[in-house]
Amino acid sequence: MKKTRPRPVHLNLLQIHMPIMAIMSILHRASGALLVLAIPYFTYLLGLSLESEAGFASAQSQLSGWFAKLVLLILGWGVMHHLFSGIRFLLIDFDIGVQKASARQSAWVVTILAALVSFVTAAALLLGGGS
Amino acid sequence: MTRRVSGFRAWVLQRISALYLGLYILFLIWHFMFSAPASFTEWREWVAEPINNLSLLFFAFFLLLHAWIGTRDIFIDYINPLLIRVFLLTLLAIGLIGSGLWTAKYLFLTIVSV
Repeated sequence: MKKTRPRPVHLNLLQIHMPIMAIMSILHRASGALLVLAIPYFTYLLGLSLESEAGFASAQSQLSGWFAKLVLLILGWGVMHHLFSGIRFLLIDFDIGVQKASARQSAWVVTILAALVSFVTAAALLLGGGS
Repeated sequence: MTRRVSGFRAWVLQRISALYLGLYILFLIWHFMFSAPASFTEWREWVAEPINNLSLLFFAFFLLLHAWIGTRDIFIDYINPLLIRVFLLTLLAIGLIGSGLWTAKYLFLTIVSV
């Protein structure tokens, strides 16, 4: 049997070349994990906002600081990336876009679109002076 | 065999819940962009609307189901010591079920009191 080229025995993530599909997929997981961590707090906010007038105001003010806005921006990006890459995964389940070239292309589209939508929304809210 | 079947069921449920969550999130974004409730009263009236109340309850249920399946996959992939995995899964289950019950409670209280 012919000897194969020596393989690297390490799995150093910084040395492995990852194609965009891998990066997009990792971000799908990471954003999912991030959103799961946010569930208890947003559940609490939902209850608070429905409980009383004061609770509603408190929930509103909790979401209006600069730190909260930063967190909302990151979570917003998480929703967008998870949603777009999720749609891509669903299409691949139905054999749409399975070929390497189109899978690579759609992975780029998903990753860039999610970042772009979050960035534009944040910019629009900042410039529009929205709450 | 049983395990393979349960894995397949999780796979299907993950995709069904994804479909509902995706569509409902798009609806929520659209709704809050164009007719966001401006006050406490308006917000409560919107949540007390039976169709919204019910679809929010479904949303919470599917969200927790989706979160459970996804996080369980991550734990199975990366957390190998069985005891730690079971501990984390228990913690996750408590957190998710707690959030679900909390949401159901407030949705119910809102629909009966408005």
